[in-house]
Amino acid sequence: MEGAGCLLFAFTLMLIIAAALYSEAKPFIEFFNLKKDLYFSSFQVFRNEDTVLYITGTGPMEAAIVTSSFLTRESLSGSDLLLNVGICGSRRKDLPMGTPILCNKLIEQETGHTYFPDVLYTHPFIEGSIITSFCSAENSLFEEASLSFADMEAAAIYQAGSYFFQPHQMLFIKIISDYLMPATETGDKAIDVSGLVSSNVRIIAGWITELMNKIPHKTNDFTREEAEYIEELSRNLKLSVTMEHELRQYLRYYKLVNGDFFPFAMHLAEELPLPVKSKTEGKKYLDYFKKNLL
Amino acid sequence: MTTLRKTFYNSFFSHIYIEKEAYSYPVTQQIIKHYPKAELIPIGHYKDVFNRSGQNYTEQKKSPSLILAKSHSSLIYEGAPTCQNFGNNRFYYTSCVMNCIYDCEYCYLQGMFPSANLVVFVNLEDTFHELERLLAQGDIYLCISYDTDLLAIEPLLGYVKAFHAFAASHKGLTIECRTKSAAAASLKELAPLKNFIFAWTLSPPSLQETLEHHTPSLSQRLNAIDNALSLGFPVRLCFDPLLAVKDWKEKYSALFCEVFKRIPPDKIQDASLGCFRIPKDFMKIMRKQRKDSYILQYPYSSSLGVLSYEKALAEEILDFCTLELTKWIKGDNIYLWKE
Repeated sequence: MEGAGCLLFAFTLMLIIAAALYSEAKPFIEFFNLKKDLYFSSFQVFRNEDTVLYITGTGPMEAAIVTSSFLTRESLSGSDLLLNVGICGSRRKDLPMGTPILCNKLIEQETGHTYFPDVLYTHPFIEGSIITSFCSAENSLFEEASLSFADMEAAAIYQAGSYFFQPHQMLFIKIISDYLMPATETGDKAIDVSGLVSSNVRIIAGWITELMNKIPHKTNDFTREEAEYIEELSRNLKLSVTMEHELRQYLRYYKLVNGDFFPFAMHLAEELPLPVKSKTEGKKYLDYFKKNLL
Repeated sequence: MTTLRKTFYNSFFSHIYIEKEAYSYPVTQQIIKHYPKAELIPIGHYKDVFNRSGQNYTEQKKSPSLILAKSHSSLIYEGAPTCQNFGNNRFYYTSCVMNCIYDCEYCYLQGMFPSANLVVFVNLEDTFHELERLLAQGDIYLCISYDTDLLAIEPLLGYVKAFHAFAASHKGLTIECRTKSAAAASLKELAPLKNFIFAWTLSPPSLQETLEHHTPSLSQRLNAIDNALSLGFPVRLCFDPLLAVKDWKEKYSALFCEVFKRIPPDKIQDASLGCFRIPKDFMKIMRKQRKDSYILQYPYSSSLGVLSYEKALAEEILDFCTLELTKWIKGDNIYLWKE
């Protein structure tokens, strides 16, 4: 990972939102003023400069496939965040419809496997565990079912997302849309999905925007200019890959202690007849660098 | 940064993951009571949380969670070759807690564990059963606070007290409890024992401030040592790791002067000195986690899979510090870790 191409300081932190349905996505598309990205034809993507939203479709299989497919094509940085937002069923009837839940444990119903996003940052939400299944979780055999929420994507998105993100970069917020009652008991009332999400979009977006502003940005140790200089110096010294790594380590340390290695390294290099004629000569000069850089 | 940590990150142990098997243990209930506002998350096995791939150790360190588990092994291991055995042949350590509340930049735990969350094994009695079996075969020297700092979390767990009680009834067992804490209150509840040694790790103040994050200052640690000595406990001083930072000679000379200005040297049981050393594989992980740490990014030399200072420099550091230390401590009571 230490090629010049990936040794850059500047990047834009991206918020990546995954929603199963357009109706769940719509309030976020409007809030962030996202425009449709026509590059993607098999699923819908909306984006602006620092936020991108993709629609996974319903169910764990689609959610995992679309997430993998989408994230593979994005160039991600080490500090981006993945937010899965949508509606869920609740076994907790004490919580009103429209309550947003931050999921701290994701259970895949079919296998019983559990996944744990890290909850490191303070937030204004109620936390809970969620069971993801191919169909309704009404008849779940899980002993924790009475305390849980249920959806059809979260655990699948986590599994696919974990190939691209660390556990603290994945956030799962689900809004209670029903109490997992059979349709006859609810009177077959259609759920206003967009309405439920809309009533929470401000609090979710506000929280995550603040998170994006405060989250420590990962910085790489060398600037592009420094990386290019090291590559050129290594070439001129005819260093092997191992020896180049050694030189990098010395320069990295020198930079951390002194702030900048350029003036001193250039001063050292001035006295050398570069490029060297042989690897043996290069090794001799590498030792000279090592001795002077410590 | 402190304000950011308080407002942006969840507080320490805001989330407690509990194995179903661990739930009914008294220490589990004690911890739950201690953190009434914590989110309690039931888990099947501690490794489901602790061993997840791709965890960010540095970020987790700012808001570590607690994982309560039941161990199915004895948790007693033979001492590693990189550890000082103080002349004891049957040298073991126990790992009833994995990870530490402190955040020392040079700490090997960052390279050894995949997570910064703390795992507490709640079935301490199983460790005691195994210890009894080992003690039947001969005397044992046991370090109880290697992969953690037990004294620092004593108000939460009470494990130091439990090991102390066990040591009181097993004379063939010598226990070392290594710490950087300044917890004086916990010691007042214990009677001094010859076979229970408190070992304080000490570093020059400038290194404590910059490298040993969240730890008590040198002055606070010296107060705790003074307190332990006045209560009659055997105390060991560990100047380990010794670090070859800028002006290291002046820094370590000043440290020894400060320590023995405050602590009567004749009351100290022994002292240990050791240069920074770490398995190469651990360092590879640690360097990725802390790219901005000058102490980790130092170009150490490698020998038999262990990274440390070049032999000549390591010898110079040890010789210098030994010479300085012998102004206060007899040479026979100074243990050196040498390759």
